[in-house]
Amino acid sequence: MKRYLLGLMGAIFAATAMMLVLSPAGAATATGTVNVTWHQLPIINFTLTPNYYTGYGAVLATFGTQPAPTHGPGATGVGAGTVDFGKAISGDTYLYKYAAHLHITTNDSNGFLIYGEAAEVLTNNSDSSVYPGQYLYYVTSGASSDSNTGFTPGLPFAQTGGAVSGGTDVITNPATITYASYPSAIALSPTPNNDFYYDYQFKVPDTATGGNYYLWIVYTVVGQ
Amino acid sequence: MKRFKFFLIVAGFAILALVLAQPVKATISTQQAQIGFLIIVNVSPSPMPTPTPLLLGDARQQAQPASGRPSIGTVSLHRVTPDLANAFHAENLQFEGGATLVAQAQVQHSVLVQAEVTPNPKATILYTDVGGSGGSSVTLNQIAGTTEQYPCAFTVTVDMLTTWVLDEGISSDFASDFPGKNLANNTYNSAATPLPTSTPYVVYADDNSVWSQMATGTAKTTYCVTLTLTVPGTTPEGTYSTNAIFTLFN
Repeated sequence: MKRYLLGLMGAIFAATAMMLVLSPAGAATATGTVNVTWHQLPIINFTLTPNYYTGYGAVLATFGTQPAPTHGPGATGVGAGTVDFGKAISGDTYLYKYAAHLHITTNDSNGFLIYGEAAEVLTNNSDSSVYPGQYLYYVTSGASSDSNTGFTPGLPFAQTGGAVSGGTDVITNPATITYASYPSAIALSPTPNNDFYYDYQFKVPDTATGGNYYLWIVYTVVGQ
Repeated sequence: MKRFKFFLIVAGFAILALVLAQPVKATISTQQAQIGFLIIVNVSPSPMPTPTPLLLGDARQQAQPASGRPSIGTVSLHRVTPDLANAFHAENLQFEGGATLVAQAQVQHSVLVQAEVTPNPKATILYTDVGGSGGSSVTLNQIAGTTEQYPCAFTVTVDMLTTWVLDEGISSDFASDFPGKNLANNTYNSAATPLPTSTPYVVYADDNSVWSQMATGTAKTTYCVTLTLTVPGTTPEGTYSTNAIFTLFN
């Protein structure tokens, strides 16, 4: 009996010693599940092409037969330069055909949203006068044709409430907007890849003084 | 008798001259100026609409923060099975507790818009008070399924001292299921009182490409335009627009 008890105690000590050796991190291991979730930022490729099709340019708002589009010197060719309406008269409305093509591809299966806003107020560079309000509008177009006129109902580019920087050069320092919160989207795509085509309308302020005017339009694409 | 014949001949020529003068007068009537501006309607849903779930990717999913997606749980709950929704909700609660906001990927490009503007020499003979800080548009905010009146929404002024004719109309419908004729105007001399009734606008695109005559005169006159708009109950939430056009002839 004594031998049996000694044997039992030895077995217990041996088992305890083995547990201590095999469990260096702790005496007890709780088990459970941990949910690890994360937001994976989508990859977005976005190409903005001004004057995207032959025949781009400005047309005075006219009913009936449409005049041929013209443009200013800033529109240097298909896919290049600025959206330059050229000569315009205060109070008149102009349609700029084939102004901007947005080509977007993402790996976001939910698609993406497009925000489009004016980076600042319409400004006359010649006398530094500014014209708060909405004078530039967008109208959906097509890849190579549309039936828009200067009287086609458009929607306004709002002036941004975000922080604007840049805007001194088309190539080296274009305007950008930093958003604390996004505005209303101008378009959405439920699919990862899509193209959007826009004409612009310029409703020149009645009170506009003579001079060279400019306005930056900033497009922001965000995955859903 | 001879004198009577002479009188008849003279009277005949006079009548002929009067008859011929009308088409000639119409022919020489020329357009002096034309102004146009947008009427933008922001339609919000009726307070008791048919419930439509907000789906991921819906245009109504607006104004989301740039730094995170706090609405994602609510948005997604509408489109998943209850089991999955519960599971998702639990996970979302953990993230809310940690206040972990995740930056969203965005890509930005901009385009420069330019124009060389010359003042309009005829801007003083036909103009409107639409503009200034509001831009070139009149914005109306209205609930679907309602009719609202907008007293003196804008003014139109003609400043000509010779005989003039002012035509008016809107360019097109707001949408295929939102007719332009749902917009009526009560246009009256701003020095007088409103008319007893309103008249639906002529829609140029629908009404044989013609405008309707708004007024004639020989002196400077300012008109107040009170708008009455009916938004169909079936019109989805969104922004709609059309152009109001005024054309001045002499």
